[in-house]
Amino acid sequence: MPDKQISALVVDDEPVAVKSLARILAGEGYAVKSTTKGEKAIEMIKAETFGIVLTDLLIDSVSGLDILAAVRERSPETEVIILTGHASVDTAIQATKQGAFHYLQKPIRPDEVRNIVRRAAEKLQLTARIQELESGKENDFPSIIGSSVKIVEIKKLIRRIKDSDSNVMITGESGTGKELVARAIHETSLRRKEKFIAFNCASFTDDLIANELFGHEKDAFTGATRSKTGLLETADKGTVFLDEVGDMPNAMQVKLLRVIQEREVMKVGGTESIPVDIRIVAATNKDLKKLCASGFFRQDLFFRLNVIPIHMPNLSERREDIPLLGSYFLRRCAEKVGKAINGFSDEAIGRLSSYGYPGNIRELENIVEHAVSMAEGSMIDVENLPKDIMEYDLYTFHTQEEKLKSLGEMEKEYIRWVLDQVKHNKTEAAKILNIDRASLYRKLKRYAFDDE
Amino acid sequence: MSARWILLVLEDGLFPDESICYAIKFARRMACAISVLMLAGNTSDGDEYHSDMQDTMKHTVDNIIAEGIPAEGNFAYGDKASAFLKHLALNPSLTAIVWGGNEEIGKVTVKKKGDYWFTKVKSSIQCPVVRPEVKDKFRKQIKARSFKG
Repeated sequence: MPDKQISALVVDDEPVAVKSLARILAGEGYAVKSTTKGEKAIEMIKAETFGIVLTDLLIDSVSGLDILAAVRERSPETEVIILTGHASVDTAIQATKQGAFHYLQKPIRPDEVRNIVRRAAEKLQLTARIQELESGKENDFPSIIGSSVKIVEIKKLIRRIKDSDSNVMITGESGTGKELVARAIHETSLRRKEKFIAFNCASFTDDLIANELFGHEKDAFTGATRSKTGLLETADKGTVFLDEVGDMPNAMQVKLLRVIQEREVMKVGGTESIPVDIRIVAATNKDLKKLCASGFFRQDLFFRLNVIPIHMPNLSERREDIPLLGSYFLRRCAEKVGKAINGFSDEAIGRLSSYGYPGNIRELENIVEHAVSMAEGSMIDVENLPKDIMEYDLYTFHTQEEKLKSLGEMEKEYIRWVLDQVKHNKTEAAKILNIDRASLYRKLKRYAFDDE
Repeated sequence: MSARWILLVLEDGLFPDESICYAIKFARRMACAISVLMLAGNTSDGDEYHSDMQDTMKHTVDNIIAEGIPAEGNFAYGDKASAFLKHLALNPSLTAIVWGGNEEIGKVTVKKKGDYWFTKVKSSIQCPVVRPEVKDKFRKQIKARSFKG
C-alpha cells in the first residue's frame, strides 16, 4: 500500500472493466475515481490532479491518446497506463513513447495491474521525493541525495555546524560525494556569501601547490613576469576546500599549518605576510591517523584540520539510497539527451541495488548515463546496463570495513534491506525472502528489529 | 598522466582474463588509467622466467592501451608484501584495486588466511579492493570474447 494515499482515475467504456479495475486499485489503497466517458474523463483531469490514470486506448470519440495529452498538459508528473486490446498494441507502444508509463494488454490480469500500478506509484513517489530534494522544501541540501540513516545523520550534522567556523575534515572513498558535502557546509555557513574555492592537493609538486595556493611575486622565479594572487588570498572571508589533503607533500603541510596558525599567507618570493580569513574544509580518502603514525602526515596539521570530522559512507553501505540516486541521475541524464524514460524495470533496479560499486556514487552515475544512452524504450531494462555488472560477481572489501561479517549479520542486513524496499510490508518481504511469514517473524524477533 | 588510477594486482606470471577484462571496463566507466602490478615471488627458475613474465606483461599493457585505456606496467619480485606496499606508497591516489592475484580474497572459503601475504598488508590499503568473478551462467560467452593478454 502506498505511504500517502495516491489518487487514481480509471477510464474505460466497459462498465465491468471499470468496476473491476477500481476494485483492484481500491484494494491496494488508492483513492479511485472512474468514468466510462472520454469527455467526462478530460473534465475530471482538468479539475483534479491524479497520481495515476488508467485509460483504455479506444473509449469513444475521445481516445486514450487524447487522455494522455490532457494529462501531460495538466500535470506532467501524473503516470498514465494505457489499456489495450491485442489489435492496438502498436498504438499503445507509441503511447509509451509519448510519455505513458506503460501499457496493459487486455484481458486484464489483476496481478499484472497491481504490479504495474505499484511501479507507477513508486516512480511517482520517487519523482516527488526528487522534486522535494531539488526544491529544498524538505532538504536544505538539494545536492546531497539520500534518505538513509547515515546520510540523514550527515545532513543533521551540517545543519548543526552552520554557525560554527571550525575547520572540517571529510573522509570517505573516492566518489562518495565529499566535495558536495563541502559545498553544502559552505552554503549553510556564515561565509555563504563569500567564495568557495576547491583545490586538489594530489598530483602536484611542491612548487606548483605553493604557486597555486600562495601565489607569487613578480620575478620570483624564471618566467614569473607578473605577480599572481594565490587561491588562499582569493578565498579571503570564504571557504577553501582542500581535496585529497592526505596526498599533500610534507613541505606544503608545514606551510599550510602556518597559514592556519598565523592566519596569514606569504607569496612565493614575497617578504610581506598577507592576512587571510579562511575556513578550511579538507577531504581525504586516506586514514590520516595511520599516515600520522607513519610520519607521512603532520599530526599538528591533522588536529588543526580534524576539528569537525565527517565520514562519507560507501554506496554499498547505503544501498537503500540506490533507487533514489538512480532515479535522480536517470532524470538528469534523460533530460540532457531529450529521452522520455520513465524509470527502471524491477530487474534493472534489482541489479543496480546489488552491484558492489567500488567506484561509489560516481560509478552509479556513469552506469545510469550509459543505460540512458543505450535505452530505446520508456524504461531502463537490464540489457541497457553495462554487461559487466550483469556478468560478474564482485567480492569487494572497503577500507572502512573492520571485519568480515557473519552469516547472521549478513542475513539481518539483507532482511532489513528487503523490508525497506517493500516499505515494511511483511507479507511481501516474506515472499521475496522465500520464507513463510512465521519464519520472518521469528527472524525479526531473533535479530531484535523491534528494539531498534 | 591521468589523475585517477586503478591498480590491477597480478601474481606469479598469471594473467586472469576476468580481472583484466573487469579492470578495463571499470576503468573506462570511471575514466581511470590502469597500473598493472605483477608480483613474483622468489623462484629458482631464474632470469628467463622473469623475463618471460615481463614480456607477457608488456603485451598485456599494450593490449589495455589498445582498448583506449591509459596503462602502465610494473614488475616486482621478491617479498610480495613489501613490493606491494612500496607500490602503494609511490602511487598514492588509487580509485580502487582490482584483484587478479592467486588467493581468492573476499571469499569466506579462503583457507589459512593468516598465512597469505595480502592478509598482512590489507590494513594498509586505503581504497576499495574488488575481486571480480564471472557468474557461471556467463562463463561460456565471456570465454568466447575473452581478453587476449
